[in-house]
Amino acid sequence: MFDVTCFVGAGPLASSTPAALGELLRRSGVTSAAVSPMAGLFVSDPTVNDVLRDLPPFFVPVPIVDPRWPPRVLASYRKHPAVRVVPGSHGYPASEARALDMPVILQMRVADPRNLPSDLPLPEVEVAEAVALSPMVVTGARAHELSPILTATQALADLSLAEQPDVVRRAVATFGADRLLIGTHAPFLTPEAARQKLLAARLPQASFAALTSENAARLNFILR
Amino acid sequence: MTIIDAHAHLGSGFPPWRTNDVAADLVATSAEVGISRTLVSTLGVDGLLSHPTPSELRAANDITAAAVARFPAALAGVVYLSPEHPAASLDELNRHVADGPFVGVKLWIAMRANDVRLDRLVGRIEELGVPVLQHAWYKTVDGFPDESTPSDVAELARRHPGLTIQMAHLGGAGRRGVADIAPHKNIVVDTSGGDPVLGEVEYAVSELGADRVIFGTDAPIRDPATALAKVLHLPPDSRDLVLSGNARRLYGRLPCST
Repeated sequence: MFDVTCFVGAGPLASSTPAALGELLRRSGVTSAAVSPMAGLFVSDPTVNDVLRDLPPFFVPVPIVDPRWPPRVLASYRKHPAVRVVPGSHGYPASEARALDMPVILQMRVADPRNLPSDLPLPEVEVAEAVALSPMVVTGARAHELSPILTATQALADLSLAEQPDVVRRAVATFGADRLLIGTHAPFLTPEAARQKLLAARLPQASFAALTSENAARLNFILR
Repeated sequence: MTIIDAHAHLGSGFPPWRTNDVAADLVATSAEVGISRTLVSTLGVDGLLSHPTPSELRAANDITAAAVARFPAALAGVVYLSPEHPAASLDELNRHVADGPFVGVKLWIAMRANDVRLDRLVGRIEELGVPVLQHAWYKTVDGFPDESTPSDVAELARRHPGLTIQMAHLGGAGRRGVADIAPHKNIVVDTSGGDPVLGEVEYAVSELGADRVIFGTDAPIRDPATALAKVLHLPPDSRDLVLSGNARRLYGRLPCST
């Protein structure tokens, strides 16, 4: 199972080392993961991506970038299959990331705002902003946000923060297996949740393969 | 392994997800992930009613009663009461618990749990020996008026040491909420509430003991499969208590076959 959404390094809400994160993910059936720097969810600073250097091959590094950074800095990330943007906490309109000349993963939110410390606001990305950006992948959408985003764009979406009974089965039936990815949102969330959601859907083999590996391969996260 | 979901809901406040029948959908979905018994309450006929009138309470509980009668092997009823209407709530308590098959009481957000106006109603609940499922959350935004915090629940437990309280939403209580209830042995916390945050159930078990953490999904607001994922990596002894042993101990009215 390929995981399109996990984070490594230290942060105010959760932290993980590459070794600990890898072990955590493997325990719940993840075989490879697109990982981004934890600190990048909270601050706009190119140095946060240093944590992605020298990771074991289990991880596909996905830097977190800010489209307002100098072009020279942004160009250094073109070697990656994608970059992640978090316009909510970095404080710019998501549509500004259209200027990035590389595949973009849009992180819509980090955590349930009700449970966040009052001195750690993490603004979320509105559906209209996600549609305006029309990224390659949307991660962290809630279940009710999937339809307006996937209907109006060509994006794929992960189901890391989409939760309702039968969420995977309903999403596959509504949008098609080729539009969906599995994300764990670890180490904020238990990766076992992604696996249990997927297993509960009892998908046909072709749909299961699409969600767990084929779509990720199509996006160049996994070598075929 | 037997699994008892001690916190779920029926009613029309939720969009059905397979058919036009929430009770049937809930029974089927729960069974598919291995849940053999689900404790259900209904918080309103037309949506979730935070301040139900007496007639709205009766109508909501009628939905629960009908579903329990329809699925007696899979569901158990929890009666929704409102301390804003003590006489009507006592009537409902007698109708469904004293003279009926329901196994517990649900209190939501009509009044904070530490309000002394709860005392008359809670006294009768204590007499009947059934647990109260009390909503609680520590929210920094989007809170409801009169919504209880774990601290409020702790005060209720202190005033009523003979009452068993299932505090809802470990995911909303957080470490502060666990600390609030830790001294009060008559409170257990259920595993529902928000996203499946890594390590929160393990933390509650370490601080409270496995005998004070009880499995609840809050379905259909949340997903039973995701809720189950929160507890699957507990050590087997703790996991068995959380998933079924504690519910059997606390909810003495559950059929022996559960």
